[in-house]
Amino acid sequence: MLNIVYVIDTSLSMRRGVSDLVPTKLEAVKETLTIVTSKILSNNKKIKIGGVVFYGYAYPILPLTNDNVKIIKTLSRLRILGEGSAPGDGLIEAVKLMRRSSGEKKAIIITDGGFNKGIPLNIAALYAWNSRVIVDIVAISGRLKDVDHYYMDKTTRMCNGKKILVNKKSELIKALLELSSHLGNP
Amino acid sequence: MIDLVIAAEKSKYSRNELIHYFLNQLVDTLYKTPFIRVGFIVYCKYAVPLIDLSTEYRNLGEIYAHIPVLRGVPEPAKAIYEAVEMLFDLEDQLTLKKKIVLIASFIKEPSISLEDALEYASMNDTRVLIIRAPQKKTHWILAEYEKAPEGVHLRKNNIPDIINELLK
Repeated sequence: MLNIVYVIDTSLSMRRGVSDLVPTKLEAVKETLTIVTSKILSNNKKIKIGGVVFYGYAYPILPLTNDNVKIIKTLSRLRILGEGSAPGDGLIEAVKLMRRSSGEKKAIIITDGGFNKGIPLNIAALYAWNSRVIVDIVAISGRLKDVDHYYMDKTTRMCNGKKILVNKKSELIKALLELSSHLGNP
Repeated sequence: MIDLVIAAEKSKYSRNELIHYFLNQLVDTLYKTPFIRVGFIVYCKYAVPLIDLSTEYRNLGEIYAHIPVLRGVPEPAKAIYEAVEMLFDLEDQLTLKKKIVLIASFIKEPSISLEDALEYASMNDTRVLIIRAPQKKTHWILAEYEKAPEGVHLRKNNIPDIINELLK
């Protein structure tokens, strides 16, 4: 069994569009995740998908499931939630969501950076690492700062994952399909 | 099986080296004691779970040492709530007793009521052992804590007694 939790940035900056990620980055992420989750679930029934959102806070929005209707319904309800960006809190919620699950575990953070709240991502990564959770990050470029890259690189290195920078919808789809279909780096 | 969650403060107010030493001593003893699962939380203004309840907690002291000193006013209540959640989430038919060890400086008054958190733990059949490890004299202290027979001040020479008390 493979468990994947998407950790989705719903902070104010995701309200803007960039390149062909329009009308907003969040809407493009919702559309892309709907395509990707449908595809990976149709290819492999041994996958469970969960969801967490973060802004200045973080909370779970979808318990682990392979019910695509539930997943699509949850994605359709996603909206901008507020100021701040606390991906560390989001990662911790994702690991907690997989606490009782057996099998491989993976968290995929989708963000446009600007980390400024909550538990530092590299400290949350320690919990993921101890819980044997692979952490990948899909980073939408445009407003990423050096400090965001520092935290993302430390996290993906520690948790055996990958960081992929995207700027277009085709890149976002490709990145999410790739990361959702494979486990971490050997 | 005893399920034990250790919640250790790491702030500029706590004696972090002494806590690290205590954690190493504790892990050495716990590893020789059968039927114990340990979880680990580090906290300051937020509480970070680092190891979920398991029998693989050997590197707990190293993890504590690795974490940087966290900023802000310590909120021990957040650590208690996080610990209770962990004990609840991972409880199974093997669980016989649930315990939390809270290591705190109690130098700064927190904004979240520790008294309420302790009451919440108690309602979840969880015993909390409070250990104080402040950098300097405590200015704030929970009124109930003064009465609590289980509260102890961490010193190098009373660590064996604290561990014995914990394993009772």
